[in-house]
Amino acid sequence: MIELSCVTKRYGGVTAVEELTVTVADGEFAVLIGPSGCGKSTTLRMVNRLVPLTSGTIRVDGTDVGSRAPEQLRREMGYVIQSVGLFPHMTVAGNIAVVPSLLKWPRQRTEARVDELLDLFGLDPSSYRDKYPRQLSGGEAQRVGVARALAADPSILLMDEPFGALDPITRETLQTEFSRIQRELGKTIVFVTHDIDEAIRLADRIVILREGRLIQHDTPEKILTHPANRFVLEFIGSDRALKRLSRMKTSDHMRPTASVKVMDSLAGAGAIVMRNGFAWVTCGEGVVRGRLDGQTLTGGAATAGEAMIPVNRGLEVIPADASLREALSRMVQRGLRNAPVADEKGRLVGEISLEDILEA
Amino acid sequence: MTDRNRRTLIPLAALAGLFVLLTAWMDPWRMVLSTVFPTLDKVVYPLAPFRRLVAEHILLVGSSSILASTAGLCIGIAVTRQWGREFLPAVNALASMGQTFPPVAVLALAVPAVGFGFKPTVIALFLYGLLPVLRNTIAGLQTLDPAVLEAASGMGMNPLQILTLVEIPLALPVIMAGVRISTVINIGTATLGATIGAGGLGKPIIAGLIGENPAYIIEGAVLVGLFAILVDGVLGIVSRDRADG
Ligand SMILES: Nc1ncnc2c1ncn2[C@@H]1O[C@H](COP(=O)(O)OP(=O)(O)OP(=O)(O)O)[C@@H](O)[C@H]1O
Ligand SMILES: [Mg+2]
Repeated sequence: MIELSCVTKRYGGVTAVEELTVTVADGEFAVLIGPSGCGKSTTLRMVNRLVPLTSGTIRVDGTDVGSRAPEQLRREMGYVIQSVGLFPHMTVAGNIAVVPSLLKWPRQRTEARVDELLDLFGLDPSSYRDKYPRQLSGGEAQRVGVARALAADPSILLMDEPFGALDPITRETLQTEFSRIQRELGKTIVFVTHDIDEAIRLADRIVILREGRLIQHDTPEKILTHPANRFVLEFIGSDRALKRLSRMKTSDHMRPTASVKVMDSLAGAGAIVMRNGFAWVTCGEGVVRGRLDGQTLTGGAATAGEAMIPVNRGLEVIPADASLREALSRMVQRGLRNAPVADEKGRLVGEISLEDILEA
Repeated sequence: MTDRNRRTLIPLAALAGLFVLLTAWMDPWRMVLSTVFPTLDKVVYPLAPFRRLVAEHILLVGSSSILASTAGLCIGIAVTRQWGREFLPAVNALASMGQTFPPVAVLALAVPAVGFGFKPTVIALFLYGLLPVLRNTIAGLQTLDPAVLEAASGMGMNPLQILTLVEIPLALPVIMAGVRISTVINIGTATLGATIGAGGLGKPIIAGLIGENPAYIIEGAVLVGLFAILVDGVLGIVSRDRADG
């Protein structure tokens, strides 16, 4: 747990952070956000004592960080920065091994840990271990940067715009990858960004700062539905309803659905369509193939498979783990009121309608 | 060792062979120089064997360059630490001014202070050789990527670990370039030591100038030149090897 109480930082006459009181619970993903110069980096760097406080206290797991030796404290917290800062004279393995070697881990343990982390970040150890930072792409370098911060398995991770310098596609890949890793590891994370979409996507709770002061500290849902003031409202932008949908998973809002098999006789399927208005047609393993409704019943076909209107699997089937925002986008694009929801193997698990999304 | 280094190794080894040959053996000198200067009655410097002169020269340059490099490195590190930073502008100014000071003048000033011979020459060479090392050490340490240094302290390295594990390894190519310049300059400058009785390869040169014997001058100059090229090449390989990790 990280507790900031009445933390103030002044640089000469400039107040970078003013009377900030914020608590980050164990295992929480906290995102600090605000306009440039609002004191995000300063706040983060006060937690690992790279910047001394002017007044106030910061406690980590109940202990005042001011009473800890700075080096000792920092080895227990991962630190990731936007410009990565990999050591150019060390290999990828050497970079990741820095904190373990400061902590004097035995070599075998360090080596095993390096490979484990490279695997976790999808970098094949045998080909990446001995590369130098200059041989890595931006995305790979930042993966190594995050892996390096996690090397000694710290319970706290401080990240200052870690994905800020990456192109949008790489950034999104790393965000997805990182939230998967975070779900596995359950670290306590303080993450700085000025990208509201990134904050909404990743955060358990968002801390909005303005000119060094706390404006709102809440879950992304709350911030989107109940912005504290005009500033927050403007900061999150006019598409906040859509942003809210991006936090919701389709699988949490879908409903059970009626389905028939491709080989079922149309007569049998017809009863279900009559009762339900329509039905999804699936093949043997439950993969969605098409859709039956009242009109398709009258064509004189023998089986559901012959009568159905085929469904475009790539565009019209919503993955269960997609956000409602993505579901809505696909449905609007294809002009659908209802769409089938499928698991990662394409098997029908439910359906979602525009009404479901509007009510979400 | 890199390919580039391997390629420079062969000519360097040949040069080293030539240098040893010309140091140890007088006959080639006698043969060549007596045909070039048929009117001279003595063509080989008679007062000391070349191996002794070379040994004296190595001693002069070696001791002064080791001292200069160590001191330059230490001062350069000190003035780039937080606690030494206030001295940086003064040291910087001194280093660039000192470079314009002629070595003969340093020698002339050192003699009244410590007398003639080996000592004043080493002092003069030390002072003169200090500057390139110092300047390059400061430059190397000051141009490091701030993100790398922030990462180093953010990961929990203490100042000494940051210096030895990050700063020096990264600045080493620049520092080594300074050591190289300093040593090579000192090899040439050390010949001036002969004027105040420090011995070395300056002796035949001075003797040749005074006695109007160009053969002596050539002997000293060729050996000094070979020595300088050799040391330059060796230090070049060492610093490149480091730079390539
Ligand atoms: N070392 C320093 N000396 C003087 N002022 C500083 C220093 N570091 C930060 N500041 C000032 O403190 C304020 C907050 O800076 P900080 O770096 O925390 O902002 P930030 O929110 O991280 O901004 P950005 O999004 O641009 O990174 C700014 O006004 C900045 O100018
Ligand atoms: Mg910042």
